[in-house]
Amino acid sequence: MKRPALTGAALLLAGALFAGSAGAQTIASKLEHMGESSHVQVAGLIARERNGFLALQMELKNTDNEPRRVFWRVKWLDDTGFQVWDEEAWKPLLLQGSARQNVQIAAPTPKARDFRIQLNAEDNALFPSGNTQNP
Amino acid sequence: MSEYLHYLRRAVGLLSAALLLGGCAGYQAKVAGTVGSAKAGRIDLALAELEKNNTGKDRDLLYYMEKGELLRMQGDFAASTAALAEADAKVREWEEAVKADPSKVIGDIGSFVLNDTTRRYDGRDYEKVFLSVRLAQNHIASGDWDAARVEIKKMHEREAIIAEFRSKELEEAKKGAEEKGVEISSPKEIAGYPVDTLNAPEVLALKNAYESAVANYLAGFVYEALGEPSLAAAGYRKAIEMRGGNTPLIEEALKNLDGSRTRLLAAGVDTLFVVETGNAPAIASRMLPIPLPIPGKNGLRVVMTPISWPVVQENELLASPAQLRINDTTVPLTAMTSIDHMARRAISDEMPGIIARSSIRAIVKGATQAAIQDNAGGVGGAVLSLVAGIAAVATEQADERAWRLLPNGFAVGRAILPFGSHRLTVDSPLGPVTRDIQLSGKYALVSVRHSGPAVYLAQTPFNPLLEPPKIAPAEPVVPVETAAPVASAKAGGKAVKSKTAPAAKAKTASQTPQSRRTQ
Amino acid sequence: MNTRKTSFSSLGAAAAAALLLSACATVSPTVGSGNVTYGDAKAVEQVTNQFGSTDLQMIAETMARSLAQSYAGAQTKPLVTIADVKNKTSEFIDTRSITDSIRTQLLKSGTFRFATDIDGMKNQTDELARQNQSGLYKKQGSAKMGKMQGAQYRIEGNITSIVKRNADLTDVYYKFSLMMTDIESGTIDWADEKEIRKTTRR
Repeated sequence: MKRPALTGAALLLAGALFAGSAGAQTIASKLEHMGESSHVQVAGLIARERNGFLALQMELKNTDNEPRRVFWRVKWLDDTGFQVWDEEAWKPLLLQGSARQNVQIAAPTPKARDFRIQLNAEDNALFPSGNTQNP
Repeated sequence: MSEYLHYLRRAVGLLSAALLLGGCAGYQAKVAGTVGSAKAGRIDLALAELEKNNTGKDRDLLYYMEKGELLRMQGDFAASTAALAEADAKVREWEEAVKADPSKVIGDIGSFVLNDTTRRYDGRDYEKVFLSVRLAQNHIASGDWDAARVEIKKMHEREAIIAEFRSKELEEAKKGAEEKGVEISSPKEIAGYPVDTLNAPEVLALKNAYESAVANYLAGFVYEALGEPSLAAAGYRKAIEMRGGNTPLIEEALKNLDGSRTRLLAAGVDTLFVVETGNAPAIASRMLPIPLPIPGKNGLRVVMTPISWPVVQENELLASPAQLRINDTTVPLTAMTSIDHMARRAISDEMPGIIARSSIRAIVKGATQAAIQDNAGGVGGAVLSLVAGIAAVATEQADERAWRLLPNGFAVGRAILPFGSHRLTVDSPLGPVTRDIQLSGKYALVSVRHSGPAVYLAQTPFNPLLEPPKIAPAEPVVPVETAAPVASAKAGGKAVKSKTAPAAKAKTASQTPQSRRTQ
Repeated sequence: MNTRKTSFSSLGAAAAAALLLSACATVSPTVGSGNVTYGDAKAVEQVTNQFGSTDLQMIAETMARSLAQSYAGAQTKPLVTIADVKNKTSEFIDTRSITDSIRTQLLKSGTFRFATDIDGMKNQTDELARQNQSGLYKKQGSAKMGKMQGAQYRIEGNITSIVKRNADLTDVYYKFSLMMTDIESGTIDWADEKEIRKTTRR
């Protein structure tokens, strides 16, 4: 059950992506922010299929001059929105000051046809001071 | 000054409590009978003595540790494990308390105002760790390697907790002492303190007072026996780090790990010998004065205040034997760990905290006396009552408590021996002693302890079902760390395969066991 | 295969209302006092700078996915065995726990098959021998001798660390490398590594 809509390179910058399936999708529709992200933005998101596996590239941008931390993980879904893989572990990532960084993500199973990226960058100083809400 | 008043109120209340509790005869006096009987080889008497001295309902950590050790010597591993498990539960209580709130354990106001012997005994750092080592040895002696693995894992977690706690405690002690204007922070500054006991090179060479070469080597061995080379490697590596110097035995073990799985196919039992000698040192209380700022009516006054300090006693150090014999072959032993050194290191690490606590206590007591005198108003009485206050401090004793029946020296040797019965000969202070051992399985642990005239043996249980199929003739004894003469002594007939590379062999031949303290 | 999405929103609303109603009485299905809580097994662990759960999870995930993607196009699922991952650090790292996670994820992804490894071999041969030699089992249906499959590939690797310390910083760097060797030809067909850096400030 290959989905032709995804096999061609799909999706791009803040505008429309994944033409095909459920109408126009935006980067925002693929992200689940946990709290307000400070200083960190998702500047780009690309998805394509490789050997039957979904592959993603997420570009993160640090708008601050200080290094910032981001925690992220992906929920893998099938066409119908069912989750097809266990909860992933949260992954910490360090973004240098004013840096743009690409994160390559491979789907764990060919069943994954869709995804949601969970992102947390709320209290993201290198050594956070107060009570943090980080995962 | 209000702070002192706060202490003062507490002090007056607790002081009366102290008087009730008081009369604390030193622990050494209490345990002397037990240790004496054990040294004379009378375990039954030692046990009776121990019970006689611990009739209360609330038995402490020490009771269970000493009892566990006595039962182990008796060969009753199940009972020994049960006793040590009681002790272990107490150490875990301490761990939980430390994990929850280390400052509470450090702060322990009772000991600020009272003295160190009224604190609950939580065990010295090395004792906490060796409790796990003994439990692991007991489990192996009962044939339960998986339980031994659990103890080993617990031991490493325990070491991490101790490390964390010590660094916090040191910080707090420094802070507390600074607040009270105590200028002394190290035993070096206490006139008359036998600093040499703490500053011996072999004590300074230790990384800390809880990690030891023998414990880590045993950890490596247990993991290797259970087919977990990745964890065994860490154990052997840590053992090298702790032991320092040239240790062919451990390096050999590490090198052999890679082939350990294929080596399992070879017939023979990979046997670890642990030879334990002597008893852990006693800790005595010695009174020495230090100058302390005592607050009075006319401000601070520096008074030479006598305080009791813990001093590690000279131990009768039995030399670890350099070798043991299996049938007619020599297995060289490598001295791994000396509890004597670890105890010195422990006291050395605890001293800053003890100095801070004792000083603050003495200052508070001095201040109490000064305050009483202020109320009375007499000038002549001032000196007298201050003296009385100091005397109250002077009657205190430093914490003498220590696990005395723990062996002092640990030496290990390793050899691959054929399945079945062997004659083990080890040199005791009263001449060579011979015992029979039975080996089976792929790995075995044989612990030998001599205490006085007696030699105690603990070995992995023999399982006749584990006899390997007889394909080749039984191989001769192959010591891991071969001393050169062994191979040549075996003239004629079977060749002795040495697992040590020729270059390494030359080195080991001239090597002497770990430096022993000479007196 | 046409799956229909059903909306449960009305049910959800009812459940929420029920929760609101009963909010005063605590009805959590727990036993015991509140000193023990269950945490999030997937949360980022930053308790100490030693090798921890997050490191294990990240390594296993990276390795499993890299492997799965590289061999996803293969005609037949490769049959592999996991040899040893050597621990070259001085920390007690259970590398088998890492390789177990990698194996689980690869099996779940459906891209690889695994042959019994050395650790499981004793149980495997014991069972085979029992079925064939004890004389207790029906011939029909019991596992036959001589049918075990040998692996085409062997996965092995190592983990190393570099630890540096000064007065106020401890820096730990881990490198986990894994490779897959074609057993017949001896060629290394796949390799990947994961690096992790952790810094502790005193």
